[in-house]
Amino acid sequence: MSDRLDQLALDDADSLLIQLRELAAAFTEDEADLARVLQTMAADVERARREPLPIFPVIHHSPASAVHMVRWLRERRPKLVFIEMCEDLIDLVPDLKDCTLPVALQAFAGETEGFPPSWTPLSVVAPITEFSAEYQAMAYALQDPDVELVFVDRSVDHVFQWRDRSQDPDTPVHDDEDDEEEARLHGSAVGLELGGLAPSFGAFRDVLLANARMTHFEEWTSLYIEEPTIGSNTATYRAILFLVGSLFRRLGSTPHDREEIRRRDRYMWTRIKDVLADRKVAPEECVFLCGAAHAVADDCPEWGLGSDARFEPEPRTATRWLNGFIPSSYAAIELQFGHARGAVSMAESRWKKALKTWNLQPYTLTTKKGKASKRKVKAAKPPMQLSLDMVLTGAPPLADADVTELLTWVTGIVSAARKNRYLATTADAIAIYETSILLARMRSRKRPSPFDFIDAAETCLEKGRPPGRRSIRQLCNRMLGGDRIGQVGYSSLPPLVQDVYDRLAPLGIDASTRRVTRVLMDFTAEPDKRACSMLLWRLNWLTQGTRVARPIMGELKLGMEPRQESWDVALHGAEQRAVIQLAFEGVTVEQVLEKRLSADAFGVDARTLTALRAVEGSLILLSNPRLSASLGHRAIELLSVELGAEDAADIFATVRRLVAHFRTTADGLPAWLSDFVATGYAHYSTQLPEAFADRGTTPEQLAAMLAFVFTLESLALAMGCARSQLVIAIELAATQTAEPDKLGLLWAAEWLVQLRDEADVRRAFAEVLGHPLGRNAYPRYLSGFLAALSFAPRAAPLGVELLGRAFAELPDRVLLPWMPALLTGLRSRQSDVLPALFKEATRTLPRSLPALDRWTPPWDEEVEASEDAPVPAARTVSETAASARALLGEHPEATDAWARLFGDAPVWGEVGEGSAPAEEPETAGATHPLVARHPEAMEAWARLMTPWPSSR
Amino acid sequence: MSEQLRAPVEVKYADELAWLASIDTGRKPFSWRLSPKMVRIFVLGSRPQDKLDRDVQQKWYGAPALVEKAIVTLASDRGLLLIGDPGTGKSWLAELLSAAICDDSTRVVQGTAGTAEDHIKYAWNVAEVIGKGQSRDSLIPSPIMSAMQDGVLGRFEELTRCTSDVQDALISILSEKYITIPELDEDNVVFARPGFNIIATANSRDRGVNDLSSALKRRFNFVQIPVVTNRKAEKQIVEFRVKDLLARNEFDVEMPTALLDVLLQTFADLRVAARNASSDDERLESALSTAEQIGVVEDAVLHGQFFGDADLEPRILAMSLVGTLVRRIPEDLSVMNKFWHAVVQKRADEEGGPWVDFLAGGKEAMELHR
Repeated sequence: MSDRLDQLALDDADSLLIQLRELAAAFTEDEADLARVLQTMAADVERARREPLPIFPVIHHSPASAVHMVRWLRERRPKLVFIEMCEDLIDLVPDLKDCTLPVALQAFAGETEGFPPSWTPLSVVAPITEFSAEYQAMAYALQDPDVELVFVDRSVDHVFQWRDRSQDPDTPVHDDEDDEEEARLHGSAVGLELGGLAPSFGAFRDVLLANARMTHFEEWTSLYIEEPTIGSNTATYRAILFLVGSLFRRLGSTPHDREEIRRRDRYMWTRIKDVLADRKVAPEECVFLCGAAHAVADDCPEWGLGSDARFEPEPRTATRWLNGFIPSSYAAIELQFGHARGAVSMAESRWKKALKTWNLQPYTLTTKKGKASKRKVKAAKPPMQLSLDMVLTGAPPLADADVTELLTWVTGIVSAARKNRYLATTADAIAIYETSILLARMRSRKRPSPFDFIDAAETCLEKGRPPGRRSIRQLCNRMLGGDRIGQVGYSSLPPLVQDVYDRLAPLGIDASTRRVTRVLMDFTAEPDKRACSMLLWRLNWLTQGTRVARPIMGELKLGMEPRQESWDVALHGAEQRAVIQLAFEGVTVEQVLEKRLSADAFGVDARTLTALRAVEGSLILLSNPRLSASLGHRAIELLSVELGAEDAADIFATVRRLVAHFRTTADGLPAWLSDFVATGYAHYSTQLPEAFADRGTTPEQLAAMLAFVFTLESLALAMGCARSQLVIAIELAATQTAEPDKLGLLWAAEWLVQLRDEADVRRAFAEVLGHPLGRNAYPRYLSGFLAALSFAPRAAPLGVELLGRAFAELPDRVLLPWMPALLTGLRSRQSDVLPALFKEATRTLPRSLPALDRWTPPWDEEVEASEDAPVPAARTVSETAASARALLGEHPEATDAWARLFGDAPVWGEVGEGSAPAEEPETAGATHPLVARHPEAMEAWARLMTPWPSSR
Repeated sequence: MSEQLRAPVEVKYADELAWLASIDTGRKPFSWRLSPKMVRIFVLGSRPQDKLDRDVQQKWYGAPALVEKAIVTLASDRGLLLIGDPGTGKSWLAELLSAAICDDSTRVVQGTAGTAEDHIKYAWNVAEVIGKGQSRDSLIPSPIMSAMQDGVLGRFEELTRCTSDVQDALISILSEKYITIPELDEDNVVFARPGFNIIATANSRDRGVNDLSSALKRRFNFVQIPVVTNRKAEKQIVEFRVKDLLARNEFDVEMPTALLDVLLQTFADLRVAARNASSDDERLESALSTAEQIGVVEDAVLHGQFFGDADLEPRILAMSLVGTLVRRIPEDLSVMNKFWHAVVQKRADEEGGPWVDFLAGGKEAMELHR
């Protein structure tokens, strides 16, 4: 055979050996080197053929390999099948029976030992399709109990051990624009392919493709390996694969890759020898499935049964690996291994065509009724299988199926293009047909390949931008097989996913469901579905960014009891993978949720807000008070050391929600929450001066800090905090800032802690407004003041007044530029500031346009009144207020009790008698000092006593 | 020195074309001078396995599949529309194909806003018409009509610059393959001879100005010519074209590799900057195509030859680059100023070598605009 190959090479008669010569010439200096290369290759082929253990070289997802594998297994019926696959994945194989291909065997390690931290989590996938030789071998072995299947390649742990530690694992690169969701099914896993053939030596690959005038390596393998060998006899197939394996290993691999292949060879042959010695099976009764590159010896001492050398691999690390299945897809396989788009789909159509042409019965593990090994085949006479001579010296003959195939493609693409809004007619079909044939001729092919057809269709139909969602190229890929997405069967699923399916069974969702299910739940009629709903909410939280569980109607809030909900649930394809990934983290969804919440709160980068959100999440999604308390204490811990006020607004909003929720429960506030409020009060009080001084802290963030302090003050004081701390902080803050908006906010805070009264604030604003140089900054002062309305609604009347003054007195050059900022600013505060302001404005401003002409702002009235009466007027009370005051005077015990509560001695002044309050208002000096200090109390009483007018 | 400033491809490569025709044994469609495989060899250059006695230089750089699609289209019933950004070599490819297929690349109609139907079909010699009346003698055929009569390829440059009604005059030419002359009572149809087809080019940046009608689109196969971003291919194109252009001036200048790398890197950086810019004001108006690079080098060489010491210097190259790319003032100047100080400055600091003079030259050129 060796002589024959040499002879053929010298004859220069076929394209394969022409390529060989050119490549050899490109890498060698003279003919002697070329001869040596060819001789070495011939020797490789010879040695592989003579090896007592039959070696069966394969190419990844190659129909030719699968076809010959089926033939080999049917003819030879080996008892022991060795496969180049990670040895620790063997336990998964029996579960393949329950899966719909393509699926991927996955090994996952969430926590690692002995690997660089940047690699974590480690994930490996080995996708399996029906038309791969390894699947045929697995199916064969599983169908016959007398046949043993052994995976002999290095363990998953060694896959990473043998990698270059200075680089991150080479995971697939996702192109956000082009990749569809199905292409991302493998996530960031490292791919394992049995029989990967693509040359890793870039220059070799470039020369190969440039000489063949091709763009994709798959096109090359299709033309020079697949097509010639799929119709050959198995001996020819093996010889050609040995030859190609030798070429690619010796010339097409980088030194690093070549070394790794050699190391794997050493591992595999050591393991094969061990197993053979143990099982006492004759080598001739076995078969070894490996990539073509592993079929040649290449200076590996352990290679072949003729050598007794053994390899001692490094021990595995202590990393705990979890194995399982995930659904895969053709697009994901193409992306993972850098194949041309549509290459795997085309391989599938070649596989189907080959089965039909050669009346082959493939091995299958499908257990579905009517599908297991029931393929109906025509009894047509299969074409003759070609010998090596015929393959190497002539182009493959046309199979019957090829004759009509091109026509089918052409009509198919025109029809698909039309459906996708392309202007495509029968004339286009003719043009595509003609162009395909012309292109194939130009590329020295007997008949158009799928790649020629795609190029032709694109040339004739693509006129710039695709009018619909898909381009002609994408439509071609779909038509030539389309993508397939696998599904992992119930019994092959990890416990967590099985549990999910079990618990969702009342909704009619099971492992065979392959569509999005719309679920409607009425908890009044079916209260038992509440558990399903809760599981869906948990899945929704855990698988954010996927379509596993999407609420269409309904929401989950703290303390809310839903009545009806509607969901879209998808647990197939990419979604099934997302749920399977959860199984690597725990045994139940609840356990994973607990782990994730704890990880959020206790992570190195955790902030108070993340911890608080974790608390809220635990309260909503899990009923686990101990977990909530633990997360709450973590939040306290984080708050006490947190600097800055970036999250102050969100922290305040979350705490307020939690406080409001717990106040409605029977047990009241938990201890951790009270502690959090107390810690927050002290923390924010302490931070105030610095925050006012810090130019990076915005007035809104300051307002959020103050809102926390003032809104939750009563609770904090009850927990032992002292207001003096806040007062001192505010006094100190006043010395720290000169920014107008912060000053506006500060004045409001000072008013609340009685460091300043309303008149002071009004006067301060008036000074700014009256100052010719300060007037420009008035809007900023006012913005700061308005921000305080979130925690000081009593400042709303003054806010309206100050706004009114701004509109009245600010010149247009200041007012107009400020308007958009004011409106957008208020719009963003519509939950806290705007309601108070709006309510006060509604009360103060006239309601109709004509009334506006006659309207005098109340603050102007007060000014006029004060101008008319130079003597400071005493506070006046209305008639009804006077009645209220009289009532209080008649029943002093109520006021006395209030006074005592506030720590005041009950002292009563003289009360005027028989007065007419409307004409002769009485001063409050004659009443109880408390009532005198707070005349608004009397007004409030008065309003209570007065019936509400029917219209205002 | 040649009498022609720029000889057409069929003149410039006359020897090569004649030689290829003499050894061509492949099947030739219609009246083609070369078979499709030979046309491909002429355009893309020969490979060892073509086993030719002499080496055929590559003349167009890009994906071979594009050239194959174009050749195949010309052998079919449909016209060929090459579409792409300015400076991607559409017209050059059209010229090469015409020269290789029919030995005549000069049947060109230049599409502009002022192109009328007369330019596509025929016009009348007014003096002749007045003297002798309307006849075939007084008819002035357009380049497309004469291409039909002779069975060769007609070229239509910048098709989308023409208004829609003018474009649509091509529909009947591409479908029926004849032009009627209603003014004449007899001999009033001009039929296309076998071998006639049209190669049109269109600028993708002009898209939407005068978009093709659906009827016309159907009669053309579109071949998209992408901007070359592969550094190796771009280098080859610049070297090839610059050599060609400078040969006209009979200059023999070697482009230093390091300097060519500086130019290519600068363009690559400029493209990245343009891609990441958020508005048109933040990117240069220029298309940053390979043709622009060729223009920059040619400009720099000419400057060096006439005003410098004949060698190509980084400083002159930078000045030429700034001068070529800065078209709008102040927008382009601001963009270039920012780019120069952020990117070129960094490269000069880190890599040194020709970058230092290149940096200085650019700054000098920008200062001239003050």
